[in-house]
Amino acid sequence: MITQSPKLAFVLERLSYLADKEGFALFGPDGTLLFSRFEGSPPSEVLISIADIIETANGIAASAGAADLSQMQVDWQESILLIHKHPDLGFHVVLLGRKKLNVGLARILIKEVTPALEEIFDALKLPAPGKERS
Amino acid sequence: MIKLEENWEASLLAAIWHRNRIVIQASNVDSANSLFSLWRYYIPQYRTFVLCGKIPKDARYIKGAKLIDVKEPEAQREAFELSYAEEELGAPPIQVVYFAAEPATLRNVLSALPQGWIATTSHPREEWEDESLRIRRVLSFAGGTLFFLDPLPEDVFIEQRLVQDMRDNSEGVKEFKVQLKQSEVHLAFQAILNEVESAGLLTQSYVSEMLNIRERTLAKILAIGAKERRMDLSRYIRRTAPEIVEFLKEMSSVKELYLATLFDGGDLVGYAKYRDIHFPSQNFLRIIQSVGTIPRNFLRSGPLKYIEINTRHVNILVYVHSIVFGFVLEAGPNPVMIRFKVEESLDQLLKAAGKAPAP
Repeated sequence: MITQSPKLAFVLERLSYLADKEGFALFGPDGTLLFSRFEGSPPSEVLISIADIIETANGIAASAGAADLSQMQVDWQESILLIHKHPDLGFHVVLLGRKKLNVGLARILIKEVTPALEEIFDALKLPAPGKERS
Repeated sequence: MIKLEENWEASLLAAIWHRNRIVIQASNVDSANSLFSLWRYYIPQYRTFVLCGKIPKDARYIKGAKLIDVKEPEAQREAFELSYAEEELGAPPIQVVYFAAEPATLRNVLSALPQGWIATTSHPREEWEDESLRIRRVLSFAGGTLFFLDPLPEDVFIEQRLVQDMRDNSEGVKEFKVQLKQSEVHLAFQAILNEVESAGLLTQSYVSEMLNIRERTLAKILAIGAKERRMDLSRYIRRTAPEIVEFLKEMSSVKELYLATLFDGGDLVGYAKYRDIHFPSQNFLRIIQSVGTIPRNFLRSGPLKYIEINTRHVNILVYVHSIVFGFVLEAGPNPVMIRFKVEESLDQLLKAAGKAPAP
């Protein structure tokens, strides 16, 4: 798990601009939970479910012409789930929001905080998909 | 009686493949037998040859052939009836060939078989017609004549394609291509039969996806299977609803579309592959099932409406209404526009079916 750091504080601060956001989480390439912050504390089943969705989506994307997952969106009547996968490092940024969540703005903010997330991920010294760290 | 002219090779192949009854007539029996040899490779190899009459030497060596050596018509008739009855117990379909048949053979022996026989003869047509033989089609060539006693199959598109495809091939390659296609159709029917036995009712879309075939090919497989296995499986295959067929046709205007599927519950009720892609339709249900594991009480999210998965090459869209719609599209520069086009067609279908989503 990721503990508090200036980079993480920056990420959380940027994402705080996003109205109707209910939660943010970071999953590793293999679906391991690295960090999460939700309005109220989500039961562990929710995070397990999101990890399962990530795994399924990656499997389906791979079956569709050996192409990597880049992003995913799930719309319920009242909620939205966004998953963005980092193209090189393979970690997954997850945003959960209410129906009115501005998806376009959410994507811009994810892009904006990605360099900081890369540094956070790098500091964890987790292997990127298909790579061994020396 | 109509003479065969155009597509006669395809029609001959279709007639043999559909087990039509055929009399090959020439001025002498040897010539008639030669004509039979010329087209023998049109007979599927999985059939059991049952040979009777004055069997020529070369025919005696047909692999696995059963020879009926008895001369008495009554005994021949019984032997045919027995072989034909064995089909119902799971034996391979038979192909009877009666060499040097007399017109009386029809009355005394061959009338026991409603399908699946070929006779060679030197007796002219009039003598056969005197035995109340009703000739539906005639094909004359190479000094001989073929009398077709059953209506020829109407849809011969597979046969036409085959004949066209092997026009310049050697005899050996022609035989290979014909036998390959016939075996493929035979095995496809067996696969459908196995599915029906385990699942009961199937949807046409499910069979189309399972065997990677179009509706017309499925109809052909069922028609040939009905003749060979004497089982009408079409009643166990639910046809795609006309409005869904129309919808899938309309979707072909979206040039980025690879695949469109419609599910009613777990049943695949619409399926169209517009471009080559390997993407099992069950993937759409898998992702819905996965999303459904999020505890409802946490999300207070209401029903699931839409899922989109983007990859470098394709976009996968799933719309959840009373029917689930799944699409695979080429990842393009303007995904929103494509999504708009898909949703427009989808709304039209739902309105037509009286299932328009609540605004």
